[in-house]
Parts: sequence; C-alpha cells; structure tokens
Amino acid sequence: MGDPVHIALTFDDGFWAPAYATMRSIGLSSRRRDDLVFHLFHRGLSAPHRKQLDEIRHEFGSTLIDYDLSANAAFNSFLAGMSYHKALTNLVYARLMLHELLPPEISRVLYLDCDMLVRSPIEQLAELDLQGKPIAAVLDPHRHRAMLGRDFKRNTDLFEFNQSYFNAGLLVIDRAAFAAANLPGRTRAYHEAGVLERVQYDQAVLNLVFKDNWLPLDFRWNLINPQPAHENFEPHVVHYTGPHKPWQLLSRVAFAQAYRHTMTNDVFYAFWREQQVRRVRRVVGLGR
Amino acid sequence: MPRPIHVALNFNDRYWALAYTVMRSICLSSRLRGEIVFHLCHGALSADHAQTLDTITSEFGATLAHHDPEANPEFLDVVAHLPETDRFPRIVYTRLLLDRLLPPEVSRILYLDCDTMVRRPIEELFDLDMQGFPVAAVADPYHDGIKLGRDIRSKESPFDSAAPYFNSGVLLIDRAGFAAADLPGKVKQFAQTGVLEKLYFDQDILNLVFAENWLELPWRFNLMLPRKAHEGLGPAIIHYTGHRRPWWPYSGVAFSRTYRHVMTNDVFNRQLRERVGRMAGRLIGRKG
Repeated sequence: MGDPVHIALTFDDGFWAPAYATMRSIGLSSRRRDDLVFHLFHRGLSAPHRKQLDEIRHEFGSTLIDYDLSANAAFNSFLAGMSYHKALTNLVYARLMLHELLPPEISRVLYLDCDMLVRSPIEQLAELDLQGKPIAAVLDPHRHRAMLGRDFKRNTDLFEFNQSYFNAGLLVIDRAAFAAANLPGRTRAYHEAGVLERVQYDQAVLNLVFKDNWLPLDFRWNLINPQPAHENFEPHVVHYTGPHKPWQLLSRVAFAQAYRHTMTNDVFYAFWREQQVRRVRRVVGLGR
Repeated sequence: MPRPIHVALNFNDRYWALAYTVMRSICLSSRLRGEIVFHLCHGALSADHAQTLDTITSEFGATLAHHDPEANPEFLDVVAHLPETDRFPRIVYTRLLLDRLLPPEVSRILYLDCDTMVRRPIEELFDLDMQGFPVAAVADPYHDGIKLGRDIRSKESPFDSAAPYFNSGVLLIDRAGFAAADLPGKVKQFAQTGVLEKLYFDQDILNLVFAENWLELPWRFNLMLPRKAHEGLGPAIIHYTGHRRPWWPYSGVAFSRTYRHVMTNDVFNRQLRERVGRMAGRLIGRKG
C-alpha cells in the first residue's frame, strides 16, 4: 500500500445510487484501489443503502469513512440561518468546511460531486503538483451566466465577464491553504452582507475567495454537460450537469451505457423505482 | 522516412467497395500517391470488383499487391483455433499475421479496417516516431464494457478495468517488434490455456499481447462512432463503428456525403444494389 488517496463526497440518502456509481467508477479506473479512502459526508443513510455502498470496500479493498453531519455541532452552527437550496440542499456547504471536518493528518483531498463518472486513475490528481495554489479545478464553460445572470447584468459588483471562474464539482484541495482561506468565516460575512443570497451559493463563494488563485486543469478532468460526441476525447471525469442524467432511462448523455454498468443494473433499477415512488408521493402530496 | 508507404487492408469480396473507398480516400488526401503500396489480403474476388479496385492504380499511380492468406499454411493453422462469425469472417485474422504475409522488405505497416475513411495525408501518421513501441493505436473509449461485459464484472477476463486498451481498427506496426511478439504462437498458447475463450476476437488478442507496450495516438487518428459534431474538429481517420454506416443512404454519420463521393456514386450504387439483393435473397431463404 502507498499513501492514502483521500476523496470527499457529500450526498443525501436520496442520492445514494449516483454516489455509489461515482465511487465504483473511481475504483474501476484506479491502479491504487486499496489506497483509496472515501470520506462520506451525509446526514444518515438507510441501512440497505449503506450496505450497498459497502460493496466498494469488498470489491476494491478501499476504505469508507462516514461523517454524519446531522450530529456535527460545528456544521450545524455554521448552517444556522444560512439559506437552504432545494435542489442542492444545504449539505453542499460541507465542501467549504472540509478542512474542519476531516481528520487532521490529511494534507490533500479530492472533492467530487456525486453526479460524476470517473474514467482515469484518480490518483493522478492526488499526485498532481499544485504549484503553490490552494486548489485546482476546471474552468466552467457556463461561467458567464453563473456569475452575471440574465443578460450578464447582475452581480457586476462581484464578477467581471472576462475573469476566470471554475466549476466546483471537482476540486483538488491543499488542506493548509484551504484552511487559511477561512471559508466558513468568509461565507458568513457574505451572508451577513446579503451577497450569498444573490449568487450561486458555495461555488460562487469558492470563486470569490480563490479568485485568480487556483490551478486550471485540462477540461477532461471535469467534462461539463457531456454529450455522446465527447466520448472520443477520453475524458477523465464526466460531469452530468445537464438536464439529462444517466440514471434516467434513455438519457442520451455521454457514456450512458457505461454509467449504467458502472452503477450496475441492479442498483440502477432499484434507484429508478425509488425515484418513481418518490415522484408519485410528491404528486399525491405526501412530500419527499 | 521509410518509403514506400505500406498500407494493409483485409476484406472479402463482400466488402470490396469499402476497401476501394479506404484506398481512394488515402490517395485523395496524400501528397505521395505514387509511393503508396496497398497490401490487399483477401480471398477470391469477382472480376468486376477486382477491376474497380485496379482503378486506384490508374487514377493515382499507387501500387496494389494482392495476398491470399488462404494459401498460407501458417494462417490456416492459426485460424483453426479462432472463432468465426458473419461479422468477423476469418479473413480479419490476417491482421495477426501481417509480419508473415508481407514481403520481407516491408519494415513498417499501417493496418486499417475497411470501415474507415482517411482525410489527412497518410504520411503524417506513417512517418510518426513510434518511440520503440511495436504498435501505435488510439485508446478505445468503450474498453470497459468490451473487456468486462455487463456491470463491468460479468465477463471472466484477463483484463483489468483500469488497464489501457486500444482499438485495433487503425494500427501502426513496426514489423520487427510485431514479429518478435510471435502472435501465432501466442494464439496457440491462449487456446491451450483456455484464455482464448474469454477474448473478444483479435482486438483482445492484440491488447493482451501488447499490454502496456503500445504508443497511444491522439483520438483524431481513429475517430470511432463519428458524429456530425466531430466534422469541424479535423479528424484524420474516421472509423465508422456503430450501427449507422455511410454505405447506406441517410446514415446521418460524420462526412456521410463525402464518403459517398469518395466511394464514387457509381460504386456506391453498385454496392447498394448488391446489398439489397443479398437482403432480398436472405428474405426468400437463399444463401449468401
């Protein structure tokens, strides 16, 4: 075994299957499977879902460490009074506190969104030279709208059209520099100044704090809105940001079939059935 | 740089028009037409098909050399171990024996599948520095499913999911390195040890023999599943994998119209009549 490769994921119980697919894709494409340590940030997982995630341990010999944030005082006090985003849930803020939540011995961590399919050895990012930067990420092709909104006329006090802006779905993080940036404190200040409510939540905060202070990675490390025509370019990490998702039937995104087989057909259909039940419950007014 | 440029194709009479198109596409886009030697490995050809193939010589001054693998005892010995289907007739295996079939003065060979079309000077690829590797090829984006099947684990396979794997439809071959690998001997060995049953035709054989010992070429030298979106990106070799094929009308693939004009309308219509005739024959129960 070599040095551990630390990977942080944040997800709610309802997103267990895509999280499993992301983890399994990392395991399948890694050459250092037993060095992989998955740090799973969530608010409690149902027993059958957690059992499925444990398959990663059996299949690859990787390590899984759970962090139940519902019981975490530091996280909950940070969240108090912060805005709640329905689609992302406020669990996403855990990304801003990774340096406080992870064990102290970790100096480098890779953060990945759970709507990703990894196709190359992830350890390449753990071994990457960050060139003194606190984080590495990929330029967001949709940054202009994300920064400046409709007609590019909003938030002009915060962003400029021609500045760089990364997608925060994949981050290579140097813990010390990340901690030094005091993201929780800065976020709270943005919240109190009313800034947080008019930007795209934590991705914008990260971009405000690390403006011109991040290492750009090749676009193939975070391929946004992947289409079948992108398959030839050997993307390392495929990020299903578009309206179509590979865990839906007939999605027509890049590597839809490979994604299903990575998730495995059993999990794919179990998750699909769960989603249908949830949808019906919403329609008849029984909530989520 | 070694001259002439040796290009090897294998096909049977049914694919004559495709072989013609590959050759014509190479000649149309090359500046060294008179220095190209096409090594055509095939069985019996009908007289009118052979006559059309010969026009490559009269139109471009290129040389055609015909090789009949069925007359080679070593070929017969090897194919006796190998599976055959309609889609993979035994002639495809000549790729494994190119070093045995071609004349001794040939030191470098470019092998191309007949469902390809070349759009850039072939000498750009042929003259490439192979850095001491026996073969050069493009990574196959669909390798995980090919290697390991359903759920990327159902197939018993000698391949690891993370191992690099190439598509063998475009293969630049250093003859000495290729010969040293002793593919016929390896095939017999795989047959005896039971490995052969787990392999996906000769592409798997080549990947197993040349594992971690091949030069990765940029995607543009073997564009698989080509789509219209790829046309503007300057692909050098289009590889018509997938269900849509440009030798049928309305295929919707990249450069479908160009393909027809490279094939020439006369040949396109002839091969189409032959295909439709064969389909009709199959419908009424005639063989062929």
